[in-house]
Amino acid sequence: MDTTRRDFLKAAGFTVVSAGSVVSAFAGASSSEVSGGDVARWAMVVDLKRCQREAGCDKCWRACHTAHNVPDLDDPRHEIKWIWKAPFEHIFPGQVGEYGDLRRKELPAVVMCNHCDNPPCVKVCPTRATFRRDDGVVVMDPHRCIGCRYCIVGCPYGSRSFNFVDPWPDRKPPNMDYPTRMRGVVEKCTFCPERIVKGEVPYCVEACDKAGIGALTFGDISDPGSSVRKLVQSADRVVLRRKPELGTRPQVYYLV
Amino acid sequence: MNDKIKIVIGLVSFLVLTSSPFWLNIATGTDWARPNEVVEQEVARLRADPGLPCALKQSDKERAQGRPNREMIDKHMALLLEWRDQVVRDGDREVPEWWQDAKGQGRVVRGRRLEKSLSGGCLVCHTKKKPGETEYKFCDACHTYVQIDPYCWDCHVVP
Repeated sequence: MDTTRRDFLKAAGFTVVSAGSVVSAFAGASSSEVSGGDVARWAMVVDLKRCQREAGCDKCWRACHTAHNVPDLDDPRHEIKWIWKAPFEHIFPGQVGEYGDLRRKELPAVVMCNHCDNPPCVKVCPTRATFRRDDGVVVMDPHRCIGCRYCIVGCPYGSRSFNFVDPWPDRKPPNMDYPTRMRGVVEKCTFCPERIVKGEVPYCVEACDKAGIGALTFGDISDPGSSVRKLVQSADRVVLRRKPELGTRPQVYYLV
Repeated sequence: MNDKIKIVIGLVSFLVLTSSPFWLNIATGTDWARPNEVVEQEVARLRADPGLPCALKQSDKERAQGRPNREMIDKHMALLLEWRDQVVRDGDREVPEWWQDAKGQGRVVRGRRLEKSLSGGCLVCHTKKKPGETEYKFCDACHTYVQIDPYCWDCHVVP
């Protein structure tokens, strides 16, 4: 050994100093990323008055399910839903008391993934197949999904469906430009990132507008001038979110 | 030491069994696609259609000699995985520069704007199924030959 005690201490000191500078460089980089604040935050506002007026309307979910190759399976146990209609009582349990407007209780309205700011499905996913993008959209990466269904248990809104069977055994889905899913993966509403990137609104919003109902509004809620932000702040309407007490911070708002 | 016949029968049947795939192939006359030929045919087919963007990815020497794109043959799977992660996880849909037009968007080839996608990009030119044929040719020529079965088509669909 020709390393003297002095050489060893010099090398050790140098290592500590350089490791420290590397750590501080990384720490600096991550804090600057967090402070970058002009990323959009996509959100949806559902006008219940307009939506419930059209009780039999199926335009939003039909448009979505056709475009995203969501199958219409006969067995209800295998049902797959991205967006669907449910009675008010199911969306907001207990909101209409026994002396309230009982008719409104029964009227269906649209529900979908809430794209929570604090999504429990993302927390429980062991493979990070589902994740929250910087713009707040909670998406599924079916390539990574192992079909454990923790996310289905984690989601308090029932927004997720599992492919118990091969959805398109004949490989002939309605939209040949969009992929299908295989047996054994979970799927859900994605807020149509492939359309957002082109500056278009999701299929459901487009279908609702086309039908002249205009119950769905989509936009960047972090922008104070956006239509969703204005609707959420409207003075004359009650604005509800589903199960806010769970702390998931849903980003689908309901105007009652 | 009188088991000579048994041993010979055993040896012969062993040889017949182990070499049976070769005999079966010869007997049934199966024409196994030779991947190089298929890829060369594909290159020739695409060269006949000028202005297709992937030629840019090919080296000058390969293009001059009409040889397939070695880099793509070796690395297409890694490229596809990289694209998949960029598009699905990072939302980065910018097409590679060798597919871009002057405005930085995907070029329009055969009436379709190329996207950073296997089915919406590569397969616009490299048609998986040729018209009138029931067999998968271009992709599967090599995949069948090396006995791999990519699971892309479990979900993705090709028009």
